[in-house]
Amino acid sequence: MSKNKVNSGVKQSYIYDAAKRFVNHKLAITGTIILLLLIIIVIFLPMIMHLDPYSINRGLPFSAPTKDLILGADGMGRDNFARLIYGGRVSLLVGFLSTLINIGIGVPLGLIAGYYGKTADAIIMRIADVFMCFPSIILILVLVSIIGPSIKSVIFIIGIMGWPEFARLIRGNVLSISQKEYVESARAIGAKDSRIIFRYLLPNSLSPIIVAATFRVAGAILQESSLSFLGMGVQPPQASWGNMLNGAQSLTVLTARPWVWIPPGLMLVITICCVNFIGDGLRDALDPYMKV
Amino acid sequence: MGNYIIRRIASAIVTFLGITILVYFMSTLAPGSPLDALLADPGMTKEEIARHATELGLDKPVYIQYFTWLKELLHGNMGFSYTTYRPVAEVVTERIGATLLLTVTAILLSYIIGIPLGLFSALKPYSAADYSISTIAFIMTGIPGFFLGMILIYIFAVKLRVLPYGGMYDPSGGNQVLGVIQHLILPALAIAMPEIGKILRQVRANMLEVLNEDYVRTARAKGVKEWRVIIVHAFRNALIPLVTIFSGSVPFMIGGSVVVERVFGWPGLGTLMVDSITKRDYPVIMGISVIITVVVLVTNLLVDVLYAYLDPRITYN
Repeated sequence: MSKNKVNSGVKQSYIYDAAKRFVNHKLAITGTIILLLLIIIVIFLPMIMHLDPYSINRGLPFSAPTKDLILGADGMGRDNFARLIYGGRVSLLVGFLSTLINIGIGVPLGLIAGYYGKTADAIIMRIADVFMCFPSIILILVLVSIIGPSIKSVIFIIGIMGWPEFARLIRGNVLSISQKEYVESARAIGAKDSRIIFRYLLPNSLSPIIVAATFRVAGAILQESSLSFLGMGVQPPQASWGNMLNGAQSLTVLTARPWVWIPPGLMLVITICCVNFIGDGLRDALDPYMKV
Repeated sequence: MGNYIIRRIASAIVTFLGITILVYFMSTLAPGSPLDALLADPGMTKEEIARHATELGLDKPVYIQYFTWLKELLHGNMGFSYTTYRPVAEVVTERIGATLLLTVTAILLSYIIGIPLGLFSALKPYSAADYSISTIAFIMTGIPGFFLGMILIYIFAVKLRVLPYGGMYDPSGGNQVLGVIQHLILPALAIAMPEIGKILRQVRANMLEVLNEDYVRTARAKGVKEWRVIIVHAFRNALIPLVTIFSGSVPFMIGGSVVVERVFGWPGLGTLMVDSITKRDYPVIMGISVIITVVVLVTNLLVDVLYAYLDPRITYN
């Protein structure tokens, strides 16, 4: 028997067990199915159906749902349904891309802090503290006011603001894994830093990164919608669920035109909840001993 | 303990300086400068503009400007608003009361609702009630505060007409205290609801853990009544770790209030912040950021000291 075979057997059974635990998590599975459906709809519906989210005066301002405009029109007479679909593209895009940027910054910094320790650790974690003890929406707002609101700047800004969470997570993980016997023995036989990091530290930190990243996607979608709601995020005519709600802030719209603001709000709630449920399921599946 | 407090204060000061550096340099990246108004004036000569720049210290390197700004800040001078020309310190102190009232009420509400629900879930773990409470609370954490605010307005102000839809004071006069309380309920709920789920989960998990401790078993074995075991022996100890999630939730809730204030037209720092950003009024933006930092740091400091006092197992070294 080669060593490899035994190894891969163990690995497979871990993934198999985790998958089994995930499938048994009812909310997580429901969340996955709904989210996948949602992704498929927002990506492919505009390809098979003619949707026009930008033309104004498709209907009267805030006109009620008709056969043609099934969710009515917004304040500029644009098709609300088309904007809902295109807004979904934006929300999901911002959620995923900014989380990738978070990971891209946070994981290397956390590795450096945890593995090399001392001054690097002190400086990086101090900066992380500064970011974490401050309401991030305020720093994000300040940055938006400087760079100017757009989809790209929103992705970039949310991306560079969310890294401390990942840096902390990885640092903690690296510190505890570094104490393990297998890392000690790798060091004893003269393994290079890069081998220890890529062979032991990173793979063993993967589960918590995946779980944190899932919750982070939900957080990023929430932040984008808040920004767009305040008029500091995605700018019309581009649609986003948040800025669709921005157009509904008057009491008359709130009272008499629920088709304007309820659908985008509901889509946000559904998306964020699905992502959170998936995160919850992944946490239970990947690390059954993790607390809370 | 004294040593611990001193070190904690020192680290809070470092964090404070970190944030002032961050905010200051971010604002120097901003387009526009205090000289813009002068530059736009055709009657101004280059020499005059240069003289103004020297007066304002704009000819010095950025880090010197930062120290000048910081020195003024520590003396309570935050500069003047670009749009209203009023002292920033005055503008900000005018609004901070409303924000603190809203945030503190929201924090209290979230604990008053979250703790009993968590306790209840822990006493009947894995029951139908436990699952429904946890699931609803989990969904709550996924509802954006502004949408929740709009739903609350729709239900309680528009349909049921029991609470006002926005503002802070009763326009018709009458009892002002009662008026403020009525105006406070909906926005405070909109900020508190997402937080309730987190508190509930924490209380539930802590309770389940504590109920397995030896001292709880001992109490039961001694024949202590069950309600006494739960309240006196278990519950008190389950509450201590809540202190740590409290310090994490303060910045989160202040951030939430920025958005929710907008929905309800609450005259606090959040509304001021959004207005100032729209007008690119950087001195005010920086003033608000600094004030919020101070509030968050002081709260966290108090919480940490309280935690160390409550849980003697925490080492101060």
